[in-house]
Amino acid sequence: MRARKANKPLPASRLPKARTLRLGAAVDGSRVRIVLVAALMGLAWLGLLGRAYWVQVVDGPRLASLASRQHVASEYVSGERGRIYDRAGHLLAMSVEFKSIFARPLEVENPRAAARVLANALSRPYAEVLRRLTERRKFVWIARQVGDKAASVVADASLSGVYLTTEYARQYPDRHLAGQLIGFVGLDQKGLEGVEKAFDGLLAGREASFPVQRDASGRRLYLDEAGREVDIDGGDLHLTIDEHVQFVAEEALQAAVRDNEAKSGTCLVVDVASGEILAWAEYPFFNPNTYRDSSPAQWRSRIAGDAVEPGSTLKAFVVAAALQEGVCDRDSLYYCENGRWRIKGATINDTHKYKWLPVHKVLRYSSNIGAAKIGEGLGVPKYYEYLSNLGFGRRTGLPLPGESRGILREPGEWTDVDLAAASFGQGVGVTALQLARAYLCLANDGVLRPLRLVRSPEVEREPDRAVFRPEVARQVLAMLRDVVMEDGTGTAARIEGLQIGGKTGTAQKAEPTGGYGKKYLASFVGFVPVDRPRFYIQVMVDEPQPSHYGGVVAAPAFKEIAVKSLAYLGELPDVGPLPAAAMEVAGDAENKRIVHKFEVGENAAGSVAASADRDDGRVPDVVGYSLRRAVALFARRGVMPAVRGEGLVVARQSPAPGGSWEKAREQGCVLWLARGDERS
Amino acid sequence: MVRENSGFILGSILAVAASLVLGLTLVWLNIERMDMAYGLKQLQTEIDKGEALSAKLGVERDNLMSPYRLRRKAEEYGLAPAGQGQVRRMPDPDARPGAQAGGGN
Repeated sequence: MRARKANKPLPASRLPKARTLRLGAAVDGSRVRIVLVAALMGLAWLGLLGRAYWVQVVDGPRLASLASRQHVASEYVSGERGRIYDRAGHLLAMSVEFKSIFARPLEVENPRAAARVLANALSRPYAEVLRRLTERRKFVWIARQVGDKAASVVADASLSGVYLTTEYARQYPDRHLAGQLIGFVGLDQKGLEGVEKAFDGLLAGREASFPVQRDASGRRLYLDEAGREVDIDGGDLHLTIDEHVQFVAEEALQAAVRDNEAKSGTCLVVDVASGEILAWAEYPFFNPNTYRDSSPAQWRSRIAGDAVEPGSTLKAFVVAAALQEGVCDRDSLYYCENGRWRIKGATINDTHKYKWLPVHKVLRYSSNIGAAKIGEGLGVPKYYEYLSNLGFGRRTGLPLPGESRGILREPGEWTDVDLAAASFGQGVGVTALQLARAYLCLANDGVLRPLRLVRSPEVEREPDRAVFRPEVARQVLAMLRDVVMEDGTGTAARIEGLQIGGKTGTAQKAEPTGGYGKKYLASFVGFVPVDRPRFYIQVMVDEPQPSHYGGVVAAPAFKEIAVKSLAYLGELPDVGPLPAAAMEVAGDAENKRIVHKFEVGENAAGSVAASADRDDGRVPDVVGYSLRRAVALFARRGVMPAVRGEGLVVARQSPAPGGSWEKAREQGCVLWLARGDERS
Repeated sequence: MVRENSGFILGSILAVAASLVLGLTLVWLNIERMDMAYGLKQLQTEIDKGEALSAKLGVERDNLMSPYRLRRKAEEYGLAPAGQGQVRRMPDPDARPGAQAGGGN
């Protein structure tokens, strides 16, 4: 209790006076200080708030913009240029990244050492590199689009003042294959020739910019997807070209030009049904990978850009027009003036002396005089109308730069001599494309269809237009068949087992000084096969020598292209003459049966529509087949036939054609052979 | 009065604490974001390099498979395009009955 008492505080009234005064003064002082501190703190907070308000609200936008400039940057990106493919999806052109090396000479500390490293890495002369490194300029290219190995060496050397940057370069893996058609792009990836130029809008990658954050050392960071989801890559282009047919065409064309010491050559292979161009070959070749090493004359596509006097290949159209107009029929006779005809001061010559020739032989023997007389009967307005309807004198509409219209003068400007000359293909200028389109019209029952070069994306096409009646077109095709299969001018284009139709052309070239000189354009155009045209092949060889005849210079190339293309497509017929020995083992009646089958092509071994190839569940008729092929057919159904006699051709078979396979397996199969030449 | 004040003070303290936690969380998230951005940048660079290399190898492959190269290689091994009498067509035994047989050399 005492303790509690002792601890009890004394009321202030009971404190000593002096002590009370001191305590009161201390309390007042503390209050003042607290108030003072509070006021200061309040002021400080107010100041901070005020400053915050100023920074955030009043000056906020400006400061935000300054900050943004410091840590947000716009990144500009270019999309990849689209790729070019052939019809089967083989790559023809694409862009890939390469490193380019540049220098800032003022920053290069040791030019001699740097030049040594660069010269070794880039396989360049040391003196040239040193000269560049010591130029008084701020920026110099050392090498552009260098290989990975060289770029890696230079990067590892960490040379002061020497830098690497990334650039895109266009690569053409097939090198000169279809070089003039594809064209090329410049260093800025802009199309400068060929389809690269024509489809630049589709192929070119677009540019886009999007914000990226920058850290203190300038590295760029992607913090979100802003802008990058946009597709900026260029579109792909799929051509109708077939890489292998193109190769075959180029190879044959090269041989034709070289063997005949010619100046140049062109070749087109077209799928008749669709009008799709399978091969577009030009010689001399042009490699777009190294376009700087070639002259502009080599870049340019002569197939699209050059108008030439086609020569006798145009005769098919004067004949077709005359047949259509009823001016003549297949057997109408024309007097061919014994090989020399003077008309209005001009002389027309034939290579051989002919007297009376029917129309189909005018085409077969390629008589200029006969064609001129047919044209004379047709007249200028009609002939002009047909040439115009066939598309001569205007562009084919293929999406290519620099396509020529050809030269087809207005009918009012034609003289009688002009008409005669135009009837055998002189005095008019046509492009290879125009000629191909016109011939396709004959193969398509007289309907003119546009050529196609691009499979995708879809390109707008002209509508089909009938020019000749179907029977007229077929009549002309039959005449073209005679040119090759009979004693015409195109026998060098024959392919065993196939009906080929075609026309030779030997055009005199106009001299720059006027008149015609001794230079020629040799050509051959034709269909494989002619009865149901599948391919159209056109070969033109410019200024061949010593021979300048289309049937000698261009027809063999046609044949080579046709054979190799058909072999590649697996459609080359495997026929040959039936060995005489095959007849020896069979009786007369059987011989007739075999011979008949060969004549009608029913059992032509390897023919496209060989009846035995159709698996109808019955034993096939293999008489006339080679042993290997017959055994293959039986083996396919699990039956191994016994072989009797010697030779390579099946002369008889058991069981008979049409029997069931079950029975054949039970009874066994026998093939009797005849001797023959080795054909497989 | 005192109870009212203490409630206000407690609320203020909690608000300040929450702000602090949220602020720190924001800072942590930003650091993580930047870390991730660096990582993404690195991965993007690797992808770009890989794609560029793949494109170059694709071009190289197509060059090696080009008809000109194949022809040269074929000549080395004594091969040549099939001529007449050298083409055989064998239908695919697994093909549907009636389906057209494919071609081949």
